[in-house]
Amino acid sequence: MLGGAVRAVLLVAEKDLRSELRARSFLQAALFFALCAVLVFSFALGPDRPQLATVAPGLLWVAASFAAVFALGRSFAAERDGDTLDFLLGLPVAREALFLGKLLANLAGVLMLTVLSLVLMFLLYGLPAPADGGRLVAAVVLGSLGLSAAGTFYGALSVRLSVREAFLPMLVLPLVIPLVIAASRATAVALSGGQAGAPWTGLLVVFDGVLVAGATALFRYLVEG
Amino acid sequence: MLRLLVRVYPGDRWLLVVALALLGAGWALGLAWVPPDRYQGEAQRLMYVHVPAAWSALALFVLATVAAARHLWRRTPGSDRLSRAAIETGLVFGALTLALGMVWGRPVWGVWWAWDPRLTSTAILLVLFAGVLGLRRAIEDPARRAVVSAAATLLAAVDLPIVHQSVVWWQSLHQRPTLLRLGAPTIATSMLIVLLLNTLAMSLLAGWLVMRRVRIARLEATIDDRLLRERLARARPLSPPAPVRLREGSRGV
Repeated sequence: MLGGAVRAVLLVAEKDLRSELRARSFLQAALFFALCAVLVFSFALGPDRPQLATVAPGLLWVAASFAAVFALGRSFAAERDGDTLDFLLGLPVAREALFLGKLLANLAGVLMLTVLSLVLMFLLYGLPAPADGGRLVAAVVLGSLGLSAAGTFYGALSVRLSVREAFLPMLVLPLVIPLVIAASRATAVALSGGQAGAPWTGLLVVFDGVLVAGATALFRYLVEG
Repeated sequence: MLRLLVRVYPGDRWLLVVALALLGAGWALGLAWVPPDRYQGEAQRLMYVHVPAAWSALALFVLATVAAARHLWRRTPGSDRLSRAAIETGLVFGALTLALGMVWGRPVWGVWWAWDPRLTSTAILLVLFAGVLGLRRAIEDPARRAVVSAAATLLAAVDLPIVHQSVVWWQSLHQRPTLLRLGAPTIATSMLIVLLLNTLAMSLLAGWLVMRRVRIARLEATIDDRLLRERLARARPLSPPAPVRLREGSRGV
């Protein structure tokens, strides 16, 4: 029973990832977005590398959250455009498994974007070698997971409705404020190796747990009817 | 008929009268009877409006969340209307809370906005629920709107404790404003009495507003229903097919 659900999750994720890989649209868009964001920030703030390195963690999560809002707002649109949404929903698979599969595929995309941005920041802003590599990986993965959960939820919300996509940031961004705070702080601490001041990684875990569980449970109401 | 429908509902008028009377008494006592605070002076009197407004907003958002959960469970149109009414009214009281907090913060803290954790998380709370209200406006179909916005309300509600905790920790990195906590650590009995009286009055007023808003929503639904039915009745140009006329003189089949 549980094995079947896990398999369904993986199948949905694999399907999405395969179509992304074939189209290569997301990869290119993510690379281009990351490059543009990193460059625009440096133009806006000046070429002062130490200063850029100081604000880099905040910039990273600003870029990631905006990218997630806009990219994932369309994460169900491909299903609608391809007329496969009803088929997908008609499968004898729990709605929760569908959502988690989508979430997993979206997580891969967001993770790619975050890692690309971080690498570009290392190169262009002259970030120091991370003082705590494990904590940096945890911050990047947990932050991306939370963004994916919020983005996938609102992507599902907008797919069947005539909700304008320009409207989504208004809903998603306030929701992910704790994530932006915690992920930025955790990233900064991981890079500099200083004192955390608060258990940011723990807060990220709680945020992800609550948001993934809540969004998964509520997903069935978004696509019914 | 429509005029009859939107006729003022008399049943809850007594509630408004009681609320306004208590509110008048509470404000009079708060302005004239209670002595001013030793440290904050006259500015502290804002507390008698600020704290009741904050309490009412919080209670209304809790009510909205409970109603949203109930709607997902039972699907009654009433719970959807209650949730919407509570969010709308809660936003009004929440905005009032923030505005009064800023007016109070200017003389006491020296700034309009201090990024105090409570202030910040209240602002995020308002943006979250304003988003839900905007979402409602963006969805046409009433049944779908009710379900989807109930789901969004619940997700926003579970996010709130995390928002608060994150903002508390985030703010603790910065220098705290030299704040004199409201109600800390003891409060004079006369102040407490007036505060409770005002809280009661404001809660009753909030309750009246929600009842009134629910009633208006119910009437709107009735009118929509009626208009739809009238339009359907008019849009029936397909008169039933005329009976086939047979040749004159024929007696039918």
